[in-house]
Amino acid sequence: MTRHRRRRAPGWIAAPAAVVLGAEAMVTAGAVAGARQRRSRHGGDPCGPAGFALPDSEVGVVRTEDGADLAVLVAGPADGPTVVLAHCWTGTKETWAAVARRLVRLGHRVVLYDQRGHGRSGFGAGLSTIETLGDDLSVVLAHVDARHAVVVGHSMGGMAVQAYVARLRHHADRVAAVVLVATASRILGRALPGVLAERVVGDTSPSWTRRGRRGAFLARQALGRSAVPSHVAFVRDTLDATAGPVRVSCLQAMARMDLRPGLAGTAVPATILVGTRDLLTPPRLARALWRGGPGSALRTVPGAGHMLPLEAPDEVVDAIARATAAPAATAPAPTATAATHDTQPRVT
Amino acid sequence: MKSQVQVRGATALVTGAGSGIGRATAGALARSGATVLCVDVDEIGAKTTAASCEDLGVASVPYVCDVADRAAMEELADEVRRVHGVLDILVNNAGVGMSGRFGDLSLDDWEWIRSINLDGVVHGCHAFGTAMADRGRGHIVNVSSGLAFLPRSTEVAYCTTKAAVWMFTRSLRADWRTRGVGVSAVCPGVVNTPILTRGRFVGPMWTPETIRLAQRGFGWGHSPHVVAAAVLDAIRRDRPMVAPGFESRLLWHLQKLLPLAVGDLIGRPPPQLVLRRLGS
Repeated sequence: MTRHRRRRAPGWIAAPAAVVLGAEAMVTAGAVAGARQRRSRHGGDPCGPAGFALPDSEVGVVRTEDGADLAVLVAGPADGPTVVLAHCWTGTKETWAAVARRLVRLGHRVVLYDQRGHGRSGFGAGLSTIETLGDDLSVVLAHVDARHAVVVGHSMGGMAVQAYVARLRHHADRVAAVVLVATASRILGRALPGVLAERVVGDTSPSWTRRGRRGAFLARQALGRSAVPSHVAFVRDTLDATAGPVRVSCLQAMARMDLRPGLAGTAVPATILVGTRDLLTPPRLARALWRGGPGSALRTVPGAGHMLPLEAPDEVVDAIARATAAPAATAPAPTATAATHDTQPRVT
Repeated sequence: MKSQVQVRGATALVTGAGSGIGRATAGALARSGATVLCVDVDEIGAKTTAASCEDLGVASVPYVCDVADRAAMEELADEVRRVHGVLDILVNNAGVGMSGRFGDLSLDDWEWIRSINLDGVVHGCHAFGTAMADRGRGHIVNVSSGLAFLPRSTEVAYCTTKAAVWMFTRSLRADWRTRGVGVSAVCPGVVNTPILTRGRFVGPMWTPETIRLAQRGFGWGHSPHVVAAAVLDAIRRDRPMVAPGFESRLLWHLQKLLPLAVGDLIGRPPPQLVLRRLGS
């Protein structure tokens, strides 16, 4: 009898515990249901109602040495600090639309261009290594006569920026700082099997990217928690619109590259941004990235996936605005507020 | 009670709008159609948030102001009243974190965190709230913390300031209840914001490794958008308190039921053994 009684939890613990747990379960269940509704109501599209509309701008074309015509767009005040934005694999300059509009509002001169083979740019003699994209960036910078510009690259664009910076020694006054958004310096170090690359990635004939829900599912994997339908559609449509050979050769160039040796000892300050839910270039790759010169920082964006310019335009703009405000080597010392944000926590 | 304040078309001011919860709240208010005044001590952060709000289709103005500076806040209030009139919504969000045992804290550290976390909220309510109460309409949201309900041996100063904000909010709510101004407290749980990169870490327990560990822990926290949604909920329904995040809600319910001694027990630091295993 006594043994039996001892096994049961005393009533004075069990009763309030049950009440607390039960109440908490109900509250939590209600909150989960409410949170789902709330997220759709308030989370909304981070890019806002203007969506993928580019800022008012003049459009030009610049021809590279191998004959690729690159579509270049310059927006914002001519005397503002120059920001050059390089987009990702199978993206277009519209990927940067939300970021570009905000930067123009902040008084920056924004330069956008389509990478070769993407959007409105020609493919020229094709591409075998990432260095070709770095050379394209160099042509664009010369075309707009960039001086102490902040060069921003997302994913494959970030690799182009790194490839460019690795050769920077000859024209160092063009670039003051770089911002690397969801990118990597080395992915595999070797090419993907040809069958996989050409049959799957290069296959545009039946347009597998559009078939049923499969294309939307694939596009969804590039996005994080707060993805909205218009982003999924955008990623799928730009993937669909990029020609098969362009997709394959760019993908193989990315798989093969190793940009780290060329970057060792380069002194350009780099801000690295990565989403915590990035499946394509996960935070592990961002931490392994070349760390840049003095003044560099790594920032993570909670809950975001790979498409940071769509998912978290504010965080990208914030990082770029800080990079343009940060003094170049020749400018006076940084102000207290500008310098403390990204530095390591103060330990006293 | 349904709030007197309609978010669409309202004039809202958010302090600490340059990052984290403040930026998400400014975005949520802008999305709901409010004019947002973005106040932050950090100019770039405030301007970025304001540009983002404008892109969402509403008017928005950045202001650089330190909430701890009484004179600056009064000056800002005059400026805002002249340009935008009396506010409809005020979100006192600006705050900083501090971690360390009391013995390691200098009184300068204490004054720093008190001046921002507590005085900043009081300054905001005094400078902007009084005019709202005189007019007879408005809503104030003060951002407290889930740690307002639980003592923590390693966050003595932080818990104290946030508990003070919680009690200040309740008292002010009682005071202004008859004058048409709703006052709400938001007590979030662990939210992924730059609070750790800007906060102070005091004492020998904080080494670069343990700080990195803490930051990684915060990386798993809730998105600031969850708190922003809670802020709007508090405004729309005039709720006295919202606790976004299950851990904060759990603390709130537990503190109602647990004897004081049990709260003290939970607030103690984990045993050395656990800390060592976390560190390895």
